[in-house]
Amino acid sequence: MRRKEKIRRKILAVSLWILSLSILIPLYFAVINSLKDKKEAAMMNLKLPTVWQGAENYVRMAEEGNILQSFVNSCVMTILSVLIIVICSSTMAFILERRGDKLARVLNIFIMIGLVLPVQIIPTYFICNALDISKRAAYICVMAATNLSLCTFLYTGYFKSIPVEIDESACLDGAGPLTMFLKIIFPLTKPVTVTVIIISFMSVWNDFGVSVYFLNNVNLQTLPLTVYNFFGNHNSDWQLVFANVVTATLPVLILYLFLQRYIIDGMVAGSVKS
Amino acid sequence: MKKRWLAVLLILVMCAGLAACEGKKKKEEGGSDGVETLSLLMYTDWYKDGWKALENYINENADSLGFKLEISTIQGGDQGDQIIATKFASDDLPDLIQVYKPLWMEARCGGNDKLVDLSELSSVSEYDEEVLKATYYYDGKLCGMPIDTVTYANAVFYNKEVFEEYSIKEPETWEEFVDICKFFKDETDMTPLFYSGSDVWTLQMNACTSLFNDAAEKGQDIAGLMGDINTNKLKYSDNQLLINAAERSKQMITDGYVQESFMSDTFDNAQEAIVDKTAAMFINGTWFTDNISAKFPEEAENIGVFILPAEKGESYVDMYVPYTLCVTAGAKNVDTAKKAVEWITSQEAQQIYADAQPGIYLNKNVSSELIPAVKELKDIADSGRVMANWLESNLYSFGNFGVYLADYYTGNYTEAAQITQEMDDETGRNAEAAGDSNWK
Amino acid sequence: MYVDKGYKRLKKRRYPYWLAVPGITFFVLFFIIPSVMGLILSLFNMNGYDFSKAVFIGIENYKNAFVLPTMRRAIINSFIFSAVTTFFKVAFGLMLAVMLNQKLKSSNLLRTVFFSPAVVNSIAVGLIFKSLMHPGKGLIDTVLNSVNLEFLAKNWLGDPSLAIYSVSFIEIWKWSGFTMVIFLSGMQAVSSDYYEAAKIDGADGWQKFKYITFPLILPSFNNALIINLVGGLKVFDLVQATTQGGPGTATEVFSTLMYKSFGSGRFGEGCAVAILLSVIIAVFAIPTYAFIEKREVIQ
Repeated sequence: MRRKEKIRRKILAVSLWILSLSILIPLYFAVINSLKDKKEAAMMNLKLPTVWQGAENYVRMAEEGNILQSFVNSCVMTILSVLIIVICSSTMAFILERRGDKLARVLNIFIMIGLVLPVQIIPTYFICNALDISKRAAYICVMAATNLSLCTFLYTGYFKSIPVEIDESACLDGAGPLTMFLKIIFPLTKPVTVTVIIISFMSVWNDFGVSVYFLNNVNLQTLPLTVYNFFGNHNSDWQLVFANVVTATLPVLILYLFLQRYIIDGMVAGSVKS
Repeated sequence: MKKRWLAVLLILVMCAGLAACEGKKKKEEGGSDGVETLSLLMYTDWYKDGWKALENYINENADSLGFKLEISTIQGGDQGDQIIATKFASDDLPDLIQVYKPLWMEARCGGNDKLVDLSELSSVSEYDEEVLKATYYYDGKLCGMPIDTVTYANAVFYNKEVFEEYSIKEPETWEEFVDICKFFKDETDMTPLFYSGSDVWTLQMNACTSLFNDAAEKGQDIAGLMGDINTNKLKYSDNQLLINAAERSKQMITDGYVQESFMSDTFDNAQEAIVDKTAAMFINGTWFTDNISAKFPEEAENIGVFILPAEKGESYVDMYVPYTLCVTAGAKNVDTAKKAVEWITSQEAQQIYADAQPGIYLNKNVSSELIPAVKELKDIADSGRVMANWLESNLYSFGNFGVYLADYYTGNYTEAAQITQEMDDETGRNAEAAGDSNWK
Repeated sequence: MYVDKGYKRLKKRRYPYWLAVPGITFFVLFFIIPSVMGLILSLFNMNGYDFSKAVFIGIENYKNAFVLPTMRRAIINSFIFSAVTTFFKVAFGLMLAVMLNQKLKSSNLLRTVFFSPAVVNSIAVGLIFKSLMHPGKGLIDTVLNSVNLEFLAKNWLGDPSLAIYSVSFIEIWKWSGFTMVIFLSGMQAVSSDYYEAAKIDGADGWQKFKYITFPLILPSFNNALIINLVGGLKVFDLVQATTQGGPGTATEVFSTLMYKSFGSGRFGEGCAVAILLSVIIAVFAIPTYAFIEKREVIQ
């Protein structure tokens, strides 16, 4: 019985690894082709390059695509946006979940609408312009607003699993609402916060539909936008295009690799309903 | 508790204030040392060697010129057009903007009153007044100055070495053209005629110029014909030669003269195919030779050209006038922006542009070394066999001719007449939306 | 009665609404107001984006949007795309989750691999697959040709009857791993007691799945279904990166159509298309969610 089980697991693992090739090959394809010269990259195969030209491709791509500036832009705007999302959605979810009165329920439904509705990009653009905020600030705010619903949803699920008794004991110690939240409650939300960070980071970093409106300027553009613009200029220099693709993907991939062991824990809490 | 609410309110106000200040600061930046940074917006495709050279020169000599450039590019296509329109609608404008034509601006963005009149610039005298009147004036206002080159289209490009090898003569009639395609299909393993459907705009070149022959048949030039269409006196569907041309260009696919992957190949692939001799011929304009000169300079001399023969009557060179460089009303400092355009369109600057990107320039004092294919097209045009392109002469958008052709090539439309029908319908929709009384 | 009142006051003091104000402000300012504005603008005829020339025309924009020749295509395509991708993403996601929920040495690594496409941006994914799916030169067709399966080699993105399915495939490739993680999170919450009990009853793998796992992960299933359904109807980036609605209009979906209406200056009509999309999403998503929610069991 045990041996049989062992063999079954082996087979399962092997078949899963074979299946994972469907994921790995396209990714490998992008990486390996970013290291070839133009001729070989144009052949679009999986062979190792005969001439390794990686450094040259990446340097040229970075110069022509204004990559460094875009990288800084992406980092700054994504981090600020994620920060706003974490602060706003955690507090909002906490209050609305704990209050549970009529107003809270109405507000909750209101926020859940955001899960369903698509962003109305043109009116949003007009509003931001009317508010006279800079393009960067506008982008950060809009991305924060569009991701708030999902993150609030995840937090709400998690707060349901934190017993109210914890709040009570904190209050007995004389802590005000803000102190209670920051010192006692928020540290407990680590798993779901990590999930929220990953999901919102992915969504803001990879955004295209909003950034193409707000950040269409060399000094403002983000990494995914450089991919879009770069391809327009170099659509047969596949080695450069792939170098750009790899550069745009790497930061968020690295973040994910560091935090991935938390992501399922956070979602567990988010999806459980009491 | 009220204090708390107040605190929150205060923080919000501060945030808003900070954000607003940042916005303001941006606008007031520069100017302190006498050098102003001007923002310039254009489509990605337009930022070519000419602009790159000129931008370098300007930024290196910013002190003496009094301005610097900060060029932003956005991808063209429907989305790009929409972004420009949104920017105009919300008065969120760069200092300088490069667009198609004032007519296009008016039709798509209603934006010409947000452009500054440039008729007093000293560089205006370096241009042919008639040409400026025909395109760059709108309602008596010089909305912008020409930038970039004149493009000649309706040209079939080939590799001279290939034609020499098989001793092929340039065709005069459509039948001869088809014979050449047939020859390449039967006798070689080259693609006779390359279509690059992934860049949809290139498909337009296959058929659009037949409208010239429709105009000629009606005893008009293209401006007259488009005038009739713009006032609803004539429909696109009334132009049988245009419909026939679409049919003929599809017939090339049906007969196997076009590569099978034509909907997945790009303009860039087309250039390589001609240089590599994997394809014999490609229909395009001098954009093609510009790209060849930039990417394969040693091959540029090898490119041969002839005019795509019409079904009947004369075959014309299709002329696109240069794009328009405008000063917007949103410019931080309109005078500096005007001075910048004055210098950019002057002989000195245009020569720098032309040296980096040879071609035909409207500035009369600019000289440029033309490669043989372009020279040949220019000679034909100068002999009078030329009409101005009509794809940007419409008052109301008819949609995208290239997309309609792609729909027809791939079987979504079964008849070529559906293309022109759709163009008429879309024109009607846009005209009605604009409240044009001719369509009521 | 007195206790209730006191509790309410306690709640008020302990969970004051001002803590939620920043979130609500952002949401209202940058999401709700623009949405409402879009709704209002969809009832106006805006001549060339000029607000001063806007004329109220009622539901005319909606009527016009419905008769757009590409509208039927966009509706059909959006539904095909949404249905196909949701089905396969949920199916693959569930399958992977069941397999990876077992104790394998490499299960953590495998999870990471399967999830990784989700972190790559759509434009990049689109470009990678655009080159993989190139007819003739692309890797997919080259492999098929080399193993004598020429008849399977297709013009994946260039054939109008195939293109929407090819784009769907790319979407499935990208998001199956994400869906898997949603299911895995649901499965981790299922107490192992149930499985112990089932083991004693002699249940086989399929029975365990059918009677224990599936009913208990129904909330996750519901989330996965809705997220994918809504995502499918809203899709834009991926279509823009691979086909831009082409060849011709073969892969036109709601979002690309909306951009075309905006692009040709018919602003009100674009807003109307966006509102229609919202309504369609709501009509499909909310009842589905409610339907499944009713069947959820509480552990």
